[in-house]
Amino acid sequence: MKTSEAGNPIRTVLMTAAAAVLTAAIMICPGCGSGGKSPGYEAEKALFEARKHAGELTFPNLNREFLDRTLAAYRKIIEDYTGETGSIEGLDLIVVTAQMELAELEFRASMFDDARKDFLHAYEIAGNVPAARANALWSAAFISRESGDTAEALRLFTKFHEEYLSGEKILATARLNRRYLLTPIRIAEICNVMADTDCAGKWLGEAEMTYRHVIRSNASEELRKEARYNLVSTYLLGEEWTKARNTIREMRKIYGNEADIPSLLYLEARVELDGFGNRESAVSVLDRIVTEHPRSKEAPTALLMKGNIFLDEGKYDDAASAYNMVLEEYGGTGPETVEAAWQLAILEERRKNWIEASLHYKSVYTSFPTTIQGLEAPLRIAAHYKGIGETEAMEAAYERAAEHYEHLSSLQYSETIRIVAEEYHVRTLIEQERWEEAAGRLLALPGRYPQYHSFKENCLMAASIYENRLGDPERAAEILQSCAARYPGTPLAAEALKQFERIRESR
Amino acid sequence: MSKVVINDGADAAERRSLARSISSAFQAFHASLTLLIDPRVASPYLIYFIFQILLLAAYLAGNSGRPAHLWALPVGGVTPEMLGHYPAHLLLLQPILGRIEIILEIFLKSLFHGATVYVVARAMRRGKPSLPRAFSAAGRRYPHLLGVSAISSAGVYAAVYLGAWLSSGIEGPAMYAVLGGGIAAGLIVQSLFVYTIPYVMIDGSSAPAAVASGVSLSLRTFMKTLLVVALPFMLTVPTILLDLKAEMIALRLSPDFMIHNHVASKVMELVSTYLITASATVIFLARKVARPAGTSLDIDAR
Repeated sequence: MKTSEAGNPIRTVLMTAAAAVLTAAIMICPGCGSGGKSPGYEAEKALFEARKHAGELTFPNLNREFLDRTLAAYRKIIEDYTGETGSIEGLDLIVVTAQMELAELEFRASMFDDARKDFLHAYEIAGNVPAARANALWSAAFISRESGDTAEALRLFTKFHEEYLSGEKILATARLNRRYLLTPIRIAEICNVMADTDCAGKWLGEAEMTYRHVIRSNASEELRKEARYNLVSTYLLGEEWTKARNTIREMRKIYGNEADIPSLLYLEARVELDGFGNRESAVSVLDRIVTEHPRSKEAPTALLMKGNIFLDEGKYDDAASAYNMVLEEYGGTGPETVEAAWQLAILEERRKNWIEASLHYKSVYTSFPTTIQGLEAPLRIAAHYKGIGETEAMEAAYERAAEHYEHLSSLQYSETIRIVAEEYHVRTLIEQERWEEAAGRLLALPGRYPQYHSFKENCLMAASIYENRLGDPERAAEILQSCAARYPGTPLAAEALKQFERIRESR
Repeated sequence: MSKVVINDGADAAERRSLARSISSAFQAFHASLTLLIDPRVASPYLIYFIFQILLLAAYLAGNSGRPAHLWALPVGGVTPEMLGHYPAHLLLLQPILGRIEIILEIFLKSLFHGATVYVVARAMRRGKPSLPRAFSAAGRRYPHLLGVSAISSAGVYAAVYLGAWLSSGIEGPAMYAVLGGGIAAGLIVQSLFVYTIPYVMIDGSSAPAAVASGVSLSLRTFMKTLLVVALPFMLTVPTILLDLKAEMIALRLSPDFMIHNHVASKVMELVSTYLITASATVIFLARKVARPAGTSLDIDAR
């Protein structure tokens, strides 16, 4: 074909086609913008994708499938790039960030064992990122405490104190995060849980020294104020009431503004009541909060505390007046409203005014079903009928309670609510002495909530029910054996095997 | 001596009737699209489009070392190191390539405007459009093309940026109204200069003469010209709106969206620019009586 001077139409068409193909290739090729990029760039891209997945997770109504995908994305970053951190600048920060975000995600998803393990791993690899390293260690200690592993919590908090709060490191650590200053108080609390008074005393002394050091320092006013509040907490925990009162009064002089005074007055009222047993003085301080700072967040709490003082003294009208004021002046869905309604129910029950009390209980569980009071209320009604021997009313109340918990266990509620509702449902069956159903439910729960570690221990309780209530030690042994096989190498398996051996020997 | 005969009677009739202006504008679009039966008519802009895509590919490929230093130059506050990070590299695509394309629009694209006017005019006169000849003709007229492009681009950008500047600090519907006002002013400025390239390429006018004649012709055929500029511009509105929120969408969806959005806006720009230039050339030529063959202004002779 002759190519004229005017140009070849085929060439033009080919160019058009080439342009279209190039455009289409760029439009449809995902990630072609990062082809052949450095490992650092690829790692940042992987971290961005993992964060995007994490952003799609909606807590507390967690979609497990999405969670697994997100966890896998973070783990892949750590797996793929850990080996290269030494050779590529900036990569260590990306890996530490991924490790920390993975652990935080596991914590939010109630995977406490995994979260603690991953925080400790972050602590080990975050040598070049001091803020992340401190956060990782503190978080691991915090999770240990929350999950009831007091020995590990004590070990980790102590390690944190040695590494970050000794000598001149206090201010630098407090500047990273003020909650780190609470470490000696947390350790003292753990010592109290372990009934080790010497240990508690030692750490309270350490706490006092730490906070006094910060107060005397040239740290920011905010940090020094925080240290003063922590000092008050130290005295309250150590039951050094006079020192606590003096520090609070000193603080009222220093921080004379509206924001601090109500909380300081509230602390003072607690000292008057818990420390000196001076109810009148406590009520007088609480009244000051309500009259002088009615819009403060402490005002409804002060009214509740005042109501509780009157309730303990049997001054029911005064107590009811305080609770009703919470409902009228500070009504809504806040915890104070729920507590006021709950206390009114208790007050009417103490007055032997059951009709009024049951109406209050009913109002609590219908209006605030997902609160702890809302979960407790149906069982309180049943317990009342059980106490007075009205079998028919009691059975009806338990049925209503079971329906309530069944409803709260449905998927429309968050996993946390569902777990607590399941526990209450088991409690309902136990109170009704429906042992076989209770054991069955206990054994089904770990499968339904595999991430909630506490349910793993249900096998021990179910075995106990079969052995002691249903008189079926063989079934109990079978459950224990299966439990040990399912969680090998864990303290739970050891306990299950111990119980299993005991039952076998007794036969 | 040969003369260009201007059909002023038709202009006057169109000025009196909006319907006639709309009808004329659509006839120009129809003629422009009909010319595409010979794909060479659209080739100059297609070549420019391919160049834009290659520029994008070069940006995506070179985010470190010396290329990164070059990419960082056009936008103040951007460092080469920033381009080595994800998603910053993709989020900066829009401002960096946008700045570069402003310069290319004046210095390079004017050549492609000229070549397009040439091939459209050849096709209308039932001649064979030749790309080498088109670019050769545009090359010869380059200083004048550059002159008119610089003036019209400065006018359009000034109007649009004035709107953007005035809208900063305002929120909600008022912001969109001011921003829209700036874009409308930009469209009016663009319609005033839309005939300057046909004057340079077909009539052989110098840049100042082409500006004077082009603005004059534009004012005489104002409504029709405004429609010829504004209607194809509407094709680019979706991508302009996406551009405004591109960063937010990219962060939520995927930073690769910046690439897709950029390509989409270049495709829309290709279609819209062809329609405006070709339709303006069609209107320009339709108002003339062809010159005798062999004269200096006989486009077929070039």
